[in-house]
Amino acid sequence: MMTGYSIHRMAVFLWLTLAVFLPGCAGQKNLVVLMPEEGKTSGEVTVSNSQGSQVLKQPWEATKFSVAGGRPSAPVIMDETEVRRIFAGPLSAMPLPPAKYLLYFEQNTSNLTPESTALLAEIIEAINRRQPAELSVIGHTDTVGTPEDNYQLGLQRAGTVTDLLKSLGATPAIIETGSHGEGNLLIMTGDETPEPRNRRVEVIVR
Amino acid sequence: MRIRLMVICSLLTATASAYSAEEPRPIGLIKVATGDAVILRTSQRIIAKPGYQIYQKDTLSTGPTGAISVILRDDTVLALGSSSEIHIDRFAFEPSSQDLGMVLRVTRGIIGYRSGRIAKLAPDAVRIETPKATMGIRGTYLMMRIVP
Repeated sequence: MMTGYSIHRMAVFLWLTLAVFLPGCAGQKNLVVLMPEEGKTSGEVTVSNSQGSQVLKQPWEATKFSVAGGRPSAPVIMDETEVRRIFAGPLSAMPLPPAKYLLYFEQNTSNLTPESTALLAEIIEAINRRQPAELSVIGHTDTVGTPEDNYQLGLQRAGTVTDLLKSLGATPAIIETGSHGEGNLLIMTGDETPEPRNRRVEVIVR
Repeated sequence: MRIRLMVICSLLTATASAYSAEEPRPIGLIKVATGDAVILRTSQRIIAKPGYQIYQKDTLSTGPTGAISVILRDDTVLALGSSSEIHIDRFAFEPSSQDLGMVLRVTRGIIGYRSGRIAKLAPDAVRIETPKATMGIRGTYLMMRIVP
């Protein structure tokens, strides 16, 4: 049998439950905010459902739509502090953007140029700042020689760079090496054309 | 000509089947994982740790204290705050064969998305689905709050 006391206790409990959970749900809408990107113009995001569609183009521009699936609201610029408060969790988990490097080689060899050798220390620093890091090393050649030989040369170049980085103390969690041979020229040339800028390894540190 | 085409086709088939016979290729790396953060893979529930690799069809999920971020092979970044969940329904990044596309499905939470090269090379092939709206992407960094 329920006493007056236990009814009172249940009411208090219910009230507390509502007080804790309601502010979290009531009035909270789905929200999409376009963020600024360093050194880039913002892209675009189109938010659509059966009730309508909105395009966000400016940094801090936001649209909301109800939990019931109402139409996305006309975009408004949100206060940066408010955005940073709401999204503190994912913002604190955002990793550094990938770092990209191009290393160049002497003709028909897998010997790095002196300028590129000097970049290796910077790449190791980039790996250390991103641990656990993924290192992607893709070799490329110019169009001198056959595609098959150039595929192999690209692979050798990628291997040389990976070995150098490891010997200098790099410890990436994941290493991916590969070759595009002469199939992915940075500078378009005809066949059998020496081009120093095509004799390269692309290094990405994620 | 026809014979040559057939040879190319059979070569392509051979490559494709060789690929699927191998272990599925990882599509990205966990960069940050704190608190209650898991990877749901088929029927497995894996405690997420920095350095773990993830695969197409994985679901990333956090509890009330969790956060997790991943960087995918095309440089896309996903960052989840607490009580969040995202399904990587499709991830294709094979520029040489023009196979590019990404479909992400967010079911709840506060999530950051920074686009990578798939969105640059094939913007129409990138989509983020949520219960009440779909997002199309053009080279974008965005934050979303999705209320279940």
